[in-house]
Amino acid sequence: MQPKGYLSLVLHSHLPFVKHPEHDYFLEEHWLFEAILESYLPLLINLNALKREGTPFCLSVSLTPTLCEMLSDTHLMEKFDRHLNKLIELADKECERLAENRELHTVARFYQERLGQLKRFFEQELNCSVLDGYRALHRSGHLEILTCGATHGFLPLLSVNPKSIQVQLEIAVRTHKKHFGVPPRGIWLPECAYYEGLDEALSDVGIEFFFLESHALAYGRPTPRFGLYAPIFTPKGVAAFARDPESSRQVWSSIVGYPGDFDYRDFYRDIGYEREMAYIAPYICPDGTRVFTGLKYHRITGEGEDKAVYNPATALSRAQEHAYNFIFNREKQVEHLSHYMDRPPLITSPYDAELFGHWWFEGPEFLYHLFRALSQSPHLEAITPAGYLERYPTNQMIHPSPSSWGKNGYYEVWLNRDNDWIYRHLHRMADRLSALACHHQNEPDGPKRRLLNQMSRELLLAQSSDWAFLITPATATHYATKRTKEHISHFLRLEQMLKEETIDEGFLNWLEQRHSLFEGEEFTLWC
Amino acid sequence: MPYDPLIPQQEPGGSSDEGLTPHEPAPDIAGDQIALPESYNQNRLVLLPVNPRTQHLYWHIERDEIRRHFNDSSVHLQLELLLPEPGERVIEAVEISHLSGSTYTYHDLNFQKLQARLIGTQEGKRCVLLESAIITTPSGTTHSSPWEIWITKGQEGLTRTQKEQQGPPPESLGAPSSLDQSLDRQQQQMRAARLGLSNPSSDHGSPDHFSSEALHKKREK
Repeated sequence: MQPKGYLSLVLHSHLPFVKHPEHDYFLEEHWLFEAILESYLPLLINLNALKREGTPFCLSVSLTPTLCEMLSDTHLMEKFDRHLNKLIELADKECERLAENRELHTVARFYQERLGQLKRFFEQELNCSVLDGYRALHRSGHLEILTCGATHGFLPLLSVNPKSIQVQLEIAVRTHKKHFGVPPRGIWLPECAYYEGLDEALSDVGIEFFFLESHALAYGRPTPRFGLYAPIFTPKGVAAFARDPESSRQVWSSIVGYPGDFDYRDFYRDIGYEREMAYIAPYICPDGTRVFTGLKYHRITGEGEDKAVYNPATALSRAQEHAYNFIFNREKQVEHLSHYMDRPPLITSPYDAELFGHWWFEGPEFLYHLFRALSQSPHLEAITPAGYLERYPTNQMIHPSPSSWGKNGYYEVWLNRDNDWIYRHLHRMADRLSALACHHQNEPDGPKRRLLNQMSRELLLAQSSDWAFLITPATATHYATKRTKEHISHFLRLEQMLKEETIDEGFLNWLEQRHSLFEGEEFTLWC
Repeated sequence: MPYDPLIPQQEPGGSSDEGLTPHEPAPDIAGDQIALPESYNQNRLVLLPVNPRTQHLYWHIERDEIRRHFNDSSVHLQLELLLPEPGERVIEAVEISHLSGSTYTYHDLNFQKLQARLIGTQEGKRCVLLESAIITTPSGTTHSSPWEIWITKGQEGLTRTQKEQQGPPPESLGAPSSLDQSLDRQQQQMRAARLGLSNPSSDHGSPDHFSSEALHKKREK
């Protein structure tokens, strides 16, 4: 029987490329370790539980090329293993320390067991490869894995050089094939950012569909007949799915969003900041800089500084309630929408994957119960974008509006008075590399070719939207500025070496080791 | 310098000297001390949309390029913003005195083609020195059309069908009258938190003063 409507859940997983082999401990590498431990592994554990139980489910997950490269990097994974072992040691220590405090000891035991479970899952079921977990669910038909721009470049602002768009997309497709064995059918556009004409570049690399912020369709030309609840085709025949604001609000919103429930774990109260230095020192930055450890003993509780002790069982029960409430609301939504449509409406709900687990600790369990609830719904069915297009291949043609999912919906987060200085460098670098690539395309294997390949990596890394995003007051201006300038200056130094035909092999080796992504991708893509 | 979780405490970023490789180059310098070229001596005019009401321009022109068109250097330079179709219509013209620079312009343009030009004039002679690519500005409003085009994607490729429009879609189908900015804000904060920047929201259940305190704690060494 045909359901009244469909739900397509999309999780966008992305981290910028950070690798510092020259250091045993590097703060920013912990972004990856935290994401693996708090989001990716819990998500995979919950999805595997659904699979084992025979609960039908499907969802889309974008894994960006930079993330895939980091997840398959031996050096980073060895560091992750050390990080996990240190946390297990800390959890053991906490259990001993809190042995006399029944309430806190329960939470400490919870972490001890949880970390042990994560380690067993990572080592025994995934064979120390997070990507293997995604691959298995992809093969079983539960996951549709999407790609993203090679380094998450903000495509509308890079489109001054069409070659930049082509290379960002080609490397995305090739990296996806390398890691998953098949080309991607869909893409999560970096920052959901679209400009008129991008559909042609997507079509050229075989992408069949992508996602847009709500107003990209609502303000498209013409406004689509079925609003946000059916995909559209762009003039080049690529399908686009718009984000549903209502289901987004239920998870993101500060007022009605689930993660703010008082029973859920508080994000801030972490023993990395609370324990005395002598005790916590071995588990934080070696220079004494305090960091989050992930061991947190309090729940949000309410408005006020006094926080009650976290109760994992109560919180997980709330996650289950919220999941059923989410599905109940989607059922009501499709019931209402179906009056206006000639086909079952599709609700597209994209989220950052790291929301689930890292920020909203109980998020992965929420997703588990969401699919359990969905499997019991007579009105609503989970579907992937490709699945919906197979069932409904006729869709309205719309010119989507240029847009993004950044603040205010357009480009100003990535182009404003604080960060606009970046673009003249990026545009000139792309021009220059294109010219050099054509000139040197028949260069025999050797240092020059390696140098040009590294120039390509430095440019791609400089193009990452993360740096422009972070160059805003009160975030991480210094780090992002440093990363941007470093990639630009590395590029310029390599260019100078090429011009003078004096290649500093030590410098080149160092860059190759540190910025080691996209091995095998040749600079000739820029020609 | 206040502590920021993303700013390494020892350049080039690690907190420990242990593990330095023998080929480690000289330590990097801080980002704000890396000098980048002021100019690449490349003639260029770039127009970028920011939102439906704001556009960004940057340009650089070499003196030699001006001399290619005019006899001496007493040339008036002007930036023009124009709607290239249908027919050309200049919507703003600004005199400039520098050979390099950047600026923002403010025109409410919904889904329109837009282009910029750098014009030189001298004693009645006018010459287009640089031209930007034509861009499409973002849209901030709904658009109706008497026709709908539907595409069927099959094995044989795309089949297009034209139909008469049957009235605008109801607002309940998601055509917003304004963007949900609170949602945007929440998402930006969340993303900052994901990247370890924290202070992802005072209103995910934690009151403002607590968030401030937590942020303060993060900044402590």
